[in-house]
Amino acid sequence: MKGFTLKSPKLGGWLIGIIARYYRMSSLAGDFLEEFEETARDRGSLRAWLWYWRHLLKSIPVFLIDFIFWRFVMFRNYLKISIRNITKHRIHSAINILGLTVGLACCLFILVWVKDELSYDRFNKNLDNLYRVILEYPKESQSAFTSYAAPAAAEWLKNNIPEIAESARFRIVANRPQILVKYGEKQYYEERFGFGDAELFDLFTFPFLVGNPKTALSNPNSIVLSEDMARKYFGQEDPIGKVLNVENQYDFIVTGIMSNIPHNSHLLFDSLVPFENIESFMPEYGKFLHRHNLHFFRTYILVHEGTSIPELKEKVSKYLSIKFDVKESMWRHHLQPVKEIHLRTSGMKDLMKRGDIRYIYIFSFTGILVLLIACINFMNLSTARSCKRAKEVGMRKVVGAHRLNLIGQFFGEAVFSSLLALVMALIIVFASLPAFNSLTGKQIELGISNHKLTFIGFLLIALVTGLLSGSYPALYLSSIKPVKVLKGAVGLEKGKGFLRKTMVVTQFVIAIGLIVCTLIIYNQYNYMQNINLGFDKEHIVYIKLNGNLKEKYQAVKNDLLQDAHIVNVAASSRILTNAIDWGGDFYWEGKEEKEERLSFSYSTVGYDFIETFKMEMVQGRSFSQDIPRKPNEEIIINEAAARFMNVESPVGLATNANNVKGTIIGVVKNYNFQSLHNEIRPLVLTFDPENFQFMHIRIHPDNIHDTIRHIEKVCRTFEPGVPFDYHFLDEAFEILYKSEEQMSRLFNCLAVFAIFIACLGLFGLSLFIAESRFREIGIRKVLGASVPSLIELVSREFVVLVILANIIAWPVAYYVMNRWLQNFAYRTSLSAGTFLLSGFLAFIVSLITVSFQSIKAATANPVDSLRYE
Amino acid sequence: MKDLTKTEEIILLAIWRLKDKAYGVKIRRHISELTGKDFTYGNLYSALNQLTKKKYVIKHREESLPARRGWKRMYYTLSPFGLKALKEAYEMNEKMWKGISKYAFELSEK
Repeated sequence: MKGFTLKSPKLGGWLIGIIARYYRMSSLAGDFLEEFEETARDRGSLRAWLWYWRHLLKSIPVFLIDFIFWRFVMFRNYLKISIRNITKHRIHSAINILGLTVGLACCLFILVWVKDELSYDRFNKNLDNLYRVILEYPKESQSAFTSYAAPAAAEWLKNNIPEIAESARFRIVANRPQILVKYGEKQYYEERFGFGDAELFDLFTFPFLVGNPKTALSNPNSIVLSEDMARKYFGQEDPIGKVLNVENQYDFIVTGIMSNIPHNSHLLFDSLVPFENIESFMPEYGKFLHRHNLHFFRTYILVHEGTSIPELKEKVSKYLSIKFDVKESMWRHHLQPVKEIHLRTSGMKDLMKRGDIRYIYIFSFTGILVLLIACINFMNLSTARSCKRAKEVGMRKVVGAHRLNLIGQFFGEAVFSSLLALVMALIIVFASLPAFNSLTGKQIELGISNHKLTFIGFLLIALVTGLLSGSYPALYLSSIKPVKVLKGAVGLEKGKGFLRKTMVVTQFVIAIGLIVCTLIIYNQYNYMQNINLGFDKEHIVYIKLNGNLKEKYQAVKNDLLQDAHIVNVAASSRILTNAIDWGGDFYWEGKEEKEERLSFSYSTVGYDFIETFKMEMVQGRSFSQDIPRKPNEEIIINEAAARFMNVESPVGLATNANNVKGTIIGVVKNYNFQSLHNEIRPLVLTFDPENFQFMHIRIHPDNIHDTIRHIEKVCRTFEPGVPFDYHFLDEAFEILYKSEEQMSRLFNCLAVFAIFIACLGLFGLSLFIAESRFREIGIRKVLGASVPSLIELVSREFVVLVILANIIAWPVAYYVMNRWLQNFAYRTSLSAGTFLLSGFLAFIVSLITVSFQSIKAATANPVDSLRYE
Repeated sequence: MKDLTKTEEIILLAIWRLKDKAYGVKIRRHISELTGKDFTYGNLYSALNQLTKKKYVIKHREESLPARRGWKRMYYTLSPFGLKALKEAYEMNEKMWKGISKYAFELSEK
């Protein structure tokens, strides 16, 4: 025995250990070892080893079968019964599972969407200490917020408030005005061209692939590109050190490549140049870089860990009153946590499209409602069929099943169905994810590896659905008294019908409510598309003014007007979807400075602007080429501004607009220069060719193709170095209301699914009723009842229920949609027709569903139903 | 009381015969020798587990040995209930085989 060193196989020992622990028989492992060593001693280690493995491999199946047998002996029976039930009543099960599948699929999509919305900015490591500086300003006796802070705020806050570790400013060249970027032959318009302080890279988690974030922006003519943008311009070349030409004027040297910013970041840019370049790019802002009383730039701060936020907010809000030495400033800066930006910015001026926490609530709630309809289907059909299952229950009880066993069985069956539905729903989700993405404008990918939690969520939803829909049948069926059942006394009891009716009504209330909402959202969207904006947006082409087009604008305009199809040409700083250059002070004769600060919106326009857009002048005249003046010398105000000023005749008054002196020459009729979420506010139109960014061309509706060709020819002769790129104004407006359009489409889908599931349930119920009244119908027919009267007999009950559902759904939908419409400054009215139409729709669909069964039952030959006795 | 299965009967008999030496290794070897077939631990322990659950067999005492690396050696013994079952099985067998000698098989084979 001495010198014996053979070790038993490790893997085998581990396996036996598991088995021994499961059987709570540690001696098993010991026995194996003991015998192994004995064999090794007597007959050699090879034999011992062989013996060990042979026994182990022979034993494992025995243990496995033993385990499975005792665990599943009952489960097997339940599984068998539920599979039998599913295959025996195919239509019934198909309705159940199909309903659950559709409901679950809706729910899963909404979960995916909500999760994506909630994931915004979460990738930032400093997220908890990141804040955006926002500005509160007075607006018509109350206050409003803008996401832009004073140009000098970033520097001042960092220098004067010790809690602030770092600050950074950012400005994108908005959504629309694009920037022309060129490298050799390759040139593109870039929309996400950002200006920012180098500290942005300290604040946000934008990792660099090449280059050093600390030094990348230290040189004023350096540029940092995203991975995609670098690839677009440089392909396989090494981008570092290469020179990009921007707007045909400036050269930038690539100093760093950052990985693409995730789509769920509120701050998006493809390239970033040092902030000071704003001075040359946007002179209208550049002049004011060190001012404290304007607001142009997004400003972010990083606070030290453990800072008391209320105290810090207090300090930040005092900034302007300290700076201007007033007691209580109406203009105050506040802090908004970066993690709230995406979902809680509504009502604030912010150029980017943001999500809205209310939409999260609305869609989550709707998703739950749709799922609820599916659950109700399941409950209704299961209880309706209960008399068929009652015998099984009675039998089980007689042979000794406890009530708990039965409850377990029926819950189990419901969960089994919902898991089956989950599998099908997952197939649907994966198959239609691209369609969903295009519907919602998102880029969601569902990889198993990085969405573990989502899938656990899916499973939980399916389990909850199963438990919820199984609850009533389980409790009801398990309570059946076996004696009664086996005597044959349980049938469709009258009292039980009430609950079933209530559930049908609930389903239809939800479905009708959703239809009403869909119709109203659609109406509002249509209304916004077709409302009179105060100008004519059709047949207007706009072109970015680049290089020579801007330098020689007047000559370009003259050349364009040579074509008889070009009606008019006007330059401006912005497109009319959001035509505000900035907000700022405005004083006039008789209104003393420093008395009260008023925010007017400013917009720069060129000659013929009013005429091109077919706007109307209420008083005075528009800017005229015949009376040339210096820039900003003359201004036009809108009606809202005139009303605000409350002077008899504003024309001719001397004004002070943002420290520039001028005279009012006219009042233009109100027009919407922002999206229809906003009311028309006081507006000042100034004339300054320096600020021109776009050229609007009104073209004749005939022969548009040739007209565009002419425009292209003119543009190419003046500026051959720039790609010709044009847009139609009405398309820009469609983009403006994209979120409403998407919401309307999403709701559309949900409503269709809701009514579909509800009708499935109705179909199942009517099928069941027709089946159980099969003989009654036969007897009635023999006694002379007509087919229509029989159809009426079966259908009447449901029709009454749907009408009742309408009556309940209307006021609820009215209340909800009325509140939603309050979001819009311009809204469609809620008409009775909408409600009637949706009620009618639900009514017709349900009538068709029910009559399908009732007609079948009524026209059947009574011989079939009566003969088997 | 349910009749014992053949395996159960054999195990109970083995434990009873082995008296105070009835632990895993010995039981398995005993049965293997008796039946002439290799009786595995899987068969032994899945049956033993049921027998202990049904209270035919009692875990009687345990022993720690260094060679078993911490896995204890468990000795089994029959409960009075188990003994009764075994006795019934014996009586049943006796009744079943009563009056039959092994020559009877040889006769039938011819």
